[in-house]
Amino acid sequence: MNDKISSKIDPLLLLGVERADKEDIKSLRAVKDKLPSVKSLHPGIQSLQRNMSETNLKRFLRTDKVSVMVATTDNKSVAKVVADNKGTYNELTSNKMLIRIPRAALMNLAQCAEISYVEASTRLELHCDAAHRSTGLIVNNQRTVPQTGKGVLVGIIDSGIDTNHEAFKKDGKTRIVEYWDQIRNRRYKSDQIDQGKATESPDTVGHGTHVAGIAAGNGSGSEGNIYQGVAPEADLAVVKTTMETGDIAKAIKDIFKLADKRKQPCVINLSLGGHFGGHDGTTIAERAIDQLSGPGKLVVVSAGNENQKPIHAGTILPKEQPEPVRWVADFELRPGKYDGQVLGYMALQVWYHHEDDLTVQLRSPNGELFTAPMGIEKDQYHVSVKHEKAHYSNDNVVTIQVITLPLPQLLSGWSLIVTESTPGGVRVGSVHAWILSRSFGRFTGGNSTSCLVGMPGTAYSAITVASYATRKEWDSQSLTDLHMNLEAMNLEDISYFSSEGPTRDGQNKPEIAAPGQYLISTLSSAAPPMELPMEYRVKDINYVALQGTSMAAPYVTGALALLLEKDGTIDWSEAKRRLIKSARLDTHSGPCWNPRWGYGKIDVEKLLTIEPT
Amino acid sequence: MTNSLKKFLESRDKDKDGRPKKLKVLVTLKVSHPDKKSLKRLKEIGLSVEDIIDHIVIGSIAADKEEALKADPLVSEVERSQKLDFTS
Repeated sequence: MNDKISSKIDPLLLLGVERADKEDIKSLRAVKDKLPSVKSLHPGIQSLQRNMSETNLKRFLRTDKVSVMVATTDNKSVAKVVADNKGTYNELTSNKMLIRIPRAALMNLAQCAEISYVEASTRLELHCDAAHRSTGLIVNNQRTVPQTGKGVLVGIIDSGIDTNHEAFKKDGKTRIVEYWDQIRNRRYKSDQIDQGKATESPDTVGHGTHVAGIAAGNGSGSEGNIYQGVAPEADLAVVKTTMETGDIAKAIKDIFKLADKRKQPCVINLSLGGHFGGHDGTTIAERAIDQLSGPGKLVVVSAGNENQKPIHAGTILPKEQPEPVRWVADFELRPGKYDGQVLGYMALQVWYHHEDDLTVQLRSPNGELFTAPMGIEKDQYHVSVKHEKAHYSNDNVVTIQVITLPLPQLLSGWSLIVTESTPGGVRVGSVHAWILSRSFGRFTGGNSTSCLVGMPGTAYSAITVASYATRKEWDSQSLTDLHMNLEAMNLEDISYFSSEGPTRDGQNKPEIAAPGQYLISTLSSAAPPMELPMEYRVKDINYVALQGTSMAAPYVTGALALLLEKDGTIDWSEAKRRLIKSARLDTHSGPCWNPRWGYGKIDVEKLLTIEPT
Repeated sequence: MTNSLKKFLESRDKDKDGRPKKLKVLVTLKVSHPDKKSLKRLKEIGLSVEDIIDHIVIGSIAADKEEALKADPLVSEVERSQKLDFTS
């Protein structure tokens, strides 16, 4: 390439020129490497240089036309060159033009004597969030779908919301139609929110504000609205919850009732979970979700972040063995503060099929065996073992509780022992045990990475979401880490923490994977640095980078808001069908369904093209 | 049993004033859409009803009344409301 000509072209565009010439990713990569050091470049190019993975390069290659701004000495002559090269133009001033032209013709433009410089138009800068590029919502910095969530109610049941954040306003008025603070038992209508009354119920955790921004923030406060959520024109109904399942069920009912009153379809996001119950969708709380969901009423739940947390042990016991079958799972307690006292506390449940005849025992570190029903109080610890039949599934559940003094010899060395009670007692043989909270301790033997989707993610009607990675860098507010770069992360791969399915009864959950690591979204002004450290806060703006299936779920919530805008009568089974049919598979996901990815990556553009059954 | 363990066990189901703690519960009934009579019965047992979703009743009850609620012929299941965690 002639150096004089190439010097007239913005380096960002130069990449495209090379592509048009050579159609070769390797040579394009070489050009990229030759660019000046990152810090001296325009932010858009910095972003490109840092983030340009092979996938991005391929996407870049597919771009047929580019928009450029040119400085001219004669617009008319330039207009002719544009027309000759099958481009279009707008005259901005007497010596500035906005031109859209095939990328391959850029050199012809640069060769034009009447043009002094060809610059990438702002639309060419990679200014959308990485997640949207991955899901096909944004291609070439433009939304690929006309839907924006308009006329749809998005429900967020979480830690609350920063009602003052510009991303939740339109023309200075709030887009939050109702905000219910369950903790203080206060409700705020939109006019009260506009009067500033809802600031009495701030989001001091910052989780809910971030989640709401992913689903429905409009990106205000970020340059070019780059951190816009998926459904930026949806209405919002927010509940600051106590986190208790009973109150969450009430909140779901309340939001759906509000949607009915407003004659709007509605999708509710639950970025929370726990590990009690049979992990089969049969807790009363989960059945309440099934009961409340219906046409135009959807509930999205995060799968959970327990993938590398040893809180589940499980096995399939072999049938028809000559000797009674026996399985052991060891666990240890983690000392914690309970009601102001430091103690070891463990609560776990063992579940097995109603046709199996098994005995579950607890063995203490000094070898004592406890069998249900039993409540034992020793000098240094208390044990209770309780056997019940679960009402809904009729399966067996043994609930074990251990409370000990925080002495090292009493914190480790505990075991669950499951044995066949009678010959032929193993008929199904599936045994699962869950520690109800990871803060209680961990299994040290018998661990299993499957069946880690938490409740209410195991609810039948819930659309359950896994997380994959789309971002590992941002400029932060931290004084020590100005530029965060999590180099070890594999973009487009499943998040290490994303909980694996299926459910205990074999349902294919999670159903779908969405960007959840890291997502930049709205920052609550009330969240202290202890909750959201400075290195995760994005430089100069009220946005923060967070990770978790908590972030992946609202991405799907936003996408379903777009779907409901198109067809407000869709129910959960149809929503799942369309998500599954449109899901994207790649080398990371492999064949799907699989327990990490569900049916694959969400593809928002395709989701909105799937025809009804 | 050591004092600290005893104190913890005793305080688990009691509030600061030593009264039985109020538990939030989800209850399924053997009837859907409970009528006035059923609701009156639940109130007599000690359940203060907060919301109803078909045959599911959400309410709160003193810890020492939980067993009586479970044993009532009107009631199918009683599930303690559980505290969930954020998944981030």
